[in-house]
Amino acid sequence: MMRRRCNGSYGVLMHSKEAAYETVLRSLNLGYGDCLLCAAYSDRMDSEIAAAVGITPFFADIEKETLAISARMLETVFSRYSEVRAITLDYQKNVELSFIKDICRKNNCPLIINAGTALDAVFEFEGIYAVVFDLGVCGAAVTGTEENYESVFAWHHCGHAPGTGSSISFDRIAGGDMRVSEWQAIEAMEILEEQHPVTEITERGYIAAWENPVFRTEYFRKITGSDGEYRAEDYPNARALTETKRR
Amino acid sequence: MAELAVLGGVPVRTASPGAWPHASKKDEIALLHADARMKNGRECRRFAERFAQMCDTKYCIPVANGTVSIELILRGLGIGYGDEVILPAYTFIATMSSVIFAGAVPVFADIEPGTYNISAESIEKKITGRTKAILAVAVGGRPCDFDKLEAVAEKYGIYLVVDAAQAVGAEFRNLSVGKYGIAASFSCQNSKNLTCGEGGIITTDNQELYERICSLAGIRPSDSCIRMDHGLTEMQAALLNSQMDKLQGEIETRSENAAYFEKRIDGNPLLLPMDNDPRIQVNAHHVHLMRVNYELLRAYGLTRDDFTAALNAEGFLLTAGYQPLYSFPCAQSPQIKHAVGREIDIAPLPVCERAGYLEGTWMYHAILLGTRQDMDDISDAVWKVCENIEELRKNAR
Repeated sequence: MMRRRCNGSYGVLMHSKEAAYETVLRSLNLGYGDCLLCAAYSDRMDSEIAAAVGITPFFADIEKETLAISARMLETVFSRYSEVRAITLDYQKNVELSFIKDICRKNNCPLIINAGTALDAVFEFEGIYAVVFDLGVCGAAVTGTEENYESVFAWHHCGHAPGTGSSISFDRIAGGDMRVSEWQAIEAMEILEEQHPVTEITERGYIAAWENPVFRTEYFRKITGSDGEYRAEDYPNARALTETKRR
Repeated sequence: MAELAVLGGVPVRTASPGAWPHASKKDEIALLHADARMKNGRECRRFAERFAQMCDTKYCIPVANGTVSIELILRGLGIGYGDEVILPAYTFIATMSSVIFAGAVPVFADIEPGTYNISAESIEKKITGRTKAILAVAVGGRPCDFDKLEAVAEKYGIYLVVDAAQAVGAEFRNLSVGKYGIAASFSCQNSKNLTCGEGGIITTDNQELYERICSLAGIRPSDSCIRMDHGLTEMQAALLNSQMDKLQGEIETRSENAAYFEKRIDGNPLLLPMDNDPRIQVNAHHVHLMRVNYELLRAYGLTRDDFTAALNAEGFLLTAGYQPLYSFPCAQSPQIKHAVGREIDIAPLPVCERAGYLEGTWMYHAILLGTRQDMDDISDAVWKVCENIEELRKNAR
């Protein structure tokens, strides 16, 4: 249901949106020493779960008009920093997705979309590695290719390939357990029948990179190897937004 | 005409071993009253209180499953990249993947030949300056030798974490396995003795760890803590609360039937029990571990698999159990090397090798919920195969 709804080819339900996002990141073989780019004003899940996987969050400023990362900004980032291994974008209707996909493709950088609660959003999956949805009671990862799906599936279910059922024989991936219970899946189907308006960025409870206390902890430094120093002055548009919200 | 069913003879029993899990009208009613869209609510709190009381621990945290539960404990202890965690190689993959997901290096220790639980002697040989924890698995639901494990942990100043995924209800020295170590993890996955389909439980007496895990799991988010979401839904907790009502009775039935079965096969030269330990008051018997006398079978030109196939054909379902984790391709995968910064040591461990490939065999707990007649049947099957081993030998050539 979920993958058909958003024009994807394959879908995996998991016990939360964070679990779905984490599985997507792990399926890309990302970890300690890798960088993931997200917006300097974004869903805290984008960067925190990346850190949990060992990835260093890397931020780009947002555009004043759209409050999202633009293709122009991405080009700048790629021209300066080669360490970026993936990008996570928070879904918005006015994002120039086709240009962003081109840039990601040119730089061989997988693109992940955090669609959040935009359960009615539809995507052209070419150029997108996976879209992560928040169904409240659980999460979902939708992919456009079988290869991506099999990888996500294996990482969410003890390394098993889809359709292999329960077994104590394992293959090439030491996958985890992000499985969803039947109750959650049943409830998710009911949730999909409801209305799901897309909320404005400013209403989503996002956080600015430099304001997240997680990045100043010893634990963050240990698991990512990064110093977690993010300065407001490096992201003037995001900074202006947070100051406006405070007023 | 052949005696043995595997060669065309009449099996001792044809009845199926019994389905698991057992659900009832009571469970349905419990589910109807739960808030289907909520996590970490009233049912979770009620279950947490009951389970903590059962284990006599201060804190209990219901979580999404028995894999993330281990990972949460390790993260809660600040264990991560650059650290090592020692675990047995004879266990389910979740024990290893939890360590990897936390960013630490899994270091395999061998097991004890008479229990299949992690060997304290082997652990000591594996400890380095990077070792932060021992992750001891109560394999099959049998408690580990916590006297030795706690002594090792204390000696080296490292944590003892108990993977009690299969050991709900198990007791060592009259204490729940949930009481040992700095924290314990249990699983409520579909096959487990206490189940809600998917679920996990953490127990601890350590308040700081409890609070940190609650933050990490997203149960009580804290601004300075990474926010995952590994909470348990109210539906799952409601089912656990309902299933818990029958847990004690089932624990007793399994224990009684296991003891009766072992008495009936006492002296059998081919199927041997694990070592007895009077410090174990309750073995959860999630899988009843046994050993085949592979050396004697070898003298007949037979293997463990030949023997268990013959038993299966008689209506007594046994499986071979775990293979050592280091033997799987995933243990040598580039993904793990990238996740934890180096390759895992996959050198074979002698007792794990023997258990995994030659002698280990399991009986699933649902069989032990059967009747006395069922126990008579399966023990008769063992004697039948034993008494007709020559027939099996001739046909194996």
